[in-house]
Amino acid sequence: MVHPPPPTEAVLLSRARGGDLDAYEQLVRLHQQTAFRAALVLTRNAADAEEAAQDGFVKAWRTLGRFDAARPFRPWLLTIVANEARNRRRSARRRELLAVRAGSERGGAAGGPASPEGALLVAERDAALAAALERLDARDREVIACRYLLELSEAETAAALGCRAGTVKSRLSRALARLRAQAQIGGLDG
Amino acid sequence: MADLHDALRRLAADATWPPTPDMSARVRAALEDAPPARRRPRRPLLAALLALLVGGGALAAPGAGSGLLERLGLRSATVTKVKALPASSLARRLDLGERRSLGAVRRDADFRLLYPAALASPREVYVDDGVVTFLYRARSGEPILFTQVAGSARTYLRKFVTADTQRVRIGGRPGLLLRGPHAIVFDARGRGTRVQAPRLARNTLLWERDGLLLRIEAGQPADELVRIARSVRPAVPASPTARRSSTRCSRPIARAAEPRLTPTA
Repeated sequence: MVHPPPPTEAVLLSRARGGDLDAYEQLVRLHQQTAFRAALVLTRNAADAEEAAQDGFVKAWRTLGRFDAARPFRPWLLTIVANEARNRRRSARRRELLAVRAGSERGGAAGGPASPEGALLVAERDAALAAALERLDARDREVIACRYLLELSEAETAAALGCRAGTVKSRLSRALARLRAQAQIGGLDG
Repeated sequence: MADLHDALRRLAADATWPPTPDMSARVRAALEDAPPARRRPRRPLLAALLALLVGGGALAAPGAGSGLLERLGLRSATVTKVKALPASSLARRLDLGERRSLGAVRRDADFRLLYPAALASPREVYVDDGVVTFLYRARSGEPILFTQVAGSARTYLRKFVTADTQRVRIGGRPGLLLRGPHAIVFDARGRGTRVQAPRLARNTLLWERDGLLLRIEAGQPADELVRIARSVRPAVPASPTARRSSTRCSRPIARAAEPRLTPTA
C-alpha cells in the first residue's frame, strides 16, 4: 500500500492561512522543537520557554494573514517566539544552565580519537568549553547557542536575537573570540 | 579557531535538552477557545463592517443617512462623524502589534521615525503592519500613544467619531482633533482593510507631516495633545537619564500657545 507523501510546509502554510487548524497543528509539530529550544536559550527556564513557544504559536496564527508567503516561515515564527521569550526573561523563575555536557560517553565515535585516553582528553576539553560558554555574558552565549547548538541559519539567528542578519556574523565572531579567551583561562588550549 | 568550531559542534551533538513538550493540541485548544483570528476582512465583509460602524449604511449615502453627520479629511485620512458607535467597538483593549526594541524599529522602518520631544523616550515600541506606535505613560499612569505610518496613497485611514471634532494647525500643517470614542478603518499598504477597535477612547490628534500620518491618543486635555504634537521632530529621544528631568506630560503647559482652532468644516 502506497501512502501519499506528507504535505510540504508550503502546502500546510497555504491551508493554515485559509483557516485550516489541522494544517496549523501540523506546522506546530514541525517547528515546536526549534521554537522551544530557541525560547530556552533566551529564557534559560523550561517553563518560561514552553509558555513563550506556545504563546508564540498562538500569536503567529493570529497574524498569519500578514506573513509573506514568499519568505521562509521559520525565521518569521522565531521572531514572534523570541519576542515572547524576551518578555518572560524578567520572571522570577530560576534560570538554568544551558544543557550542554561534555561527550564523556562518546568514546571512540567516528572521526573521534580511538584510544580511551584520547576520548577522555577530548571529553575534558569539551567540558572546559561548556563551562567557558556558561561564563560568557548572555549576548555572546545566545549567538553561539543559536548558531552552534540550535544550528540556526544566520537569518534565523537574527530573527531569534532581534538583530539584522549582517550583525549576526560580527556578533558571532566577537563572541567566539571571547569564548576562546574564556576557554584558555579555563585550561582549554583550543 | 577550527578546533573551537569542532569542539562546539561536538557540544551541539552531545547537548542534552529538556524534552520538547508537544504543544500542538494546546495551541489548537487555545485557538478554538479564543475569538476568531484577527484577519483582514475581505472586501464584501468590509461593506458590512462599515455599515455596522456608521449605523445603517450612512456611508453608502453620505449626507443622506441619519447616521452620518459630517466628514473631515486630511490627505491620507478621513474622519466621519456619526451619531453613535456600536457598544462593542468601545473595548479598551490595547492592541498595538508586536513589541520591538526602538533600535530594531528605527532600523527596519520604511521611514524616518519622528519623536515627540515633550515625551522623551517611549516606554515601549510596537509595530503592526508598518504602523509604528510608541507607548508612553503619563505621571498619572495613563497611557499615551503616538502612532506614525507612511501616509502615502497606499495607506489610508478612516476614523468614525461621535464627539467633537476640530481642525487644528500643527506647525502650519492641518490636523484634526477628535474628542471622545472613535472607531478606525485602516488600509495598510494596499494589503487589505481592517477595522480596529479604539485603543483609548479619549482625545486623539491626527495630522500629517513629512509624508507620515501621525496620531496621538491620550487622556490628556486637548491642548496638551497639541503641545506634544508641536514638539514632534526627527531626533533621537533623550537618554533615560535626561528623561527623568525632561517634560512630564502631565505638567501644566508653560509656554505652549493656545492651539489655533478653526471651526469644523
